[in-house]
Amino acid sequence: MSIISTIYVNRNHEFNVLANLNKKIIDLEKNMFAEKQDSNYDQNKCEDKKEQRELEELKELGNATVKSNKGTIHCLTIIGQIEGHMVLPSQNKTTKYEHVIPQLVAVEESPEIDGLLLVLNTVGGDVEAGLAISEMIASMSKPTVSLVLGGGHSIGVPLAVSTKHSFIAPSATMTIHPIRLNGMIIGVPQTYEYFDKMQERVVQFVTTNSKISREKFRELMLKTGELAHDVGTVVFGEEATKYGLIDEVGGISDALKTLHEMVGVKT
Amino acid sequence: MILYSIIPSEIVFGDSARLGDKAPEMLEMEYLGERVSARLVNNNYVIERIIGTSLKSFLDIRLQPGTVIKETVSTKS
Repeated sequence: MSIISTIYVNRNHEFNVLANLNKKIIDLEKNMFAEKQDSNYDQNKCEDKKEQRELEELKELGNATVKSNKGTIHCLTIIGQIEGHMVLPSQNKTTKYEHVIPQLVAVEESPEIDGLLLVLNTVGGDVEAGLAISEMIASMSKPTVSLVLGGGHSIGVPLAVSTKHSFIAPSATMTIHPIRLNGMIIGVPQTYEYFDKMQERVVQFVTTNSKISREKFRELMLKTGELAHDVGTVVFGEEATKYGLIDEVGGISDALKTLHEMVGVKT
Repeated sequence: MILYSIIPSEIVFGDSARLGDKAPEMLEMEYLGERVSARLVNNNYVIERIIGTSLKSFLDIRLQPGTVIKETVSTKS
């Protein structure tokens, strides 16, 4: 081999060595970047999973204790039928009072919870269970705010007014009508007196816990010509505030803002 | 029973036989340290209520009515 060709071969060899080294450095950097990506991906995946789980729990179970720098709020949703002394068939969505009542006791007792947000979308239900929950909420010492979304019908009316401040969404409705009874009815005057006493419980609670007058509430309750198969009145958001039944028209942000203000004042 | 609701009673109580609604299978079990009553729905147990006196458990989001019990639990007859 001539000297020139030897030099050429040597330089080529050096070039190949450098090229291989460069390739190794590039591969190493690629691997390091990929590992970092995986690590970030795993961390994000864990955080996403945790957040997803929390959201699923909130979605499925409908109540949550939410902490913020403005206070800790417990959100209780009252949906479907208020289930009382009888277990309703499975086609009904229900709120079970035997669970709600101890839960309210826990909210009142817990030093970690500052206030209660009651979200309502209910068609009514058992009178005694509904009044029991309403009385519990009305007698709580902690700040309480209710928000009627969709509907707050029948026994939902006492529930809506049981809090210290109430809101109703503009499109929400409340049906005010007389109580009704299921089961065997004995045809004696005492039956009517019984009905009247049961009705009076509801009227007294609502008028004591809201600004509606007794006369106006009874007038709405006994109105004919509005409901097709019943006696009573359906009031929409604005109307409910006009009669003094609900304090304000508003949504979730208004309800939470008011609740946080009440918590702030209390502390 | 005083069902003070806008939904008629015939719809609330329904025709269980026609709808094929059987009485739900209820079971008492220990779950997360608390005694709960659960019913069988689509091969899963769903919490109906807590049978207990611990107030803190009523605030536990994992023990709320409607929670599907996904883990193996011990049951007592």
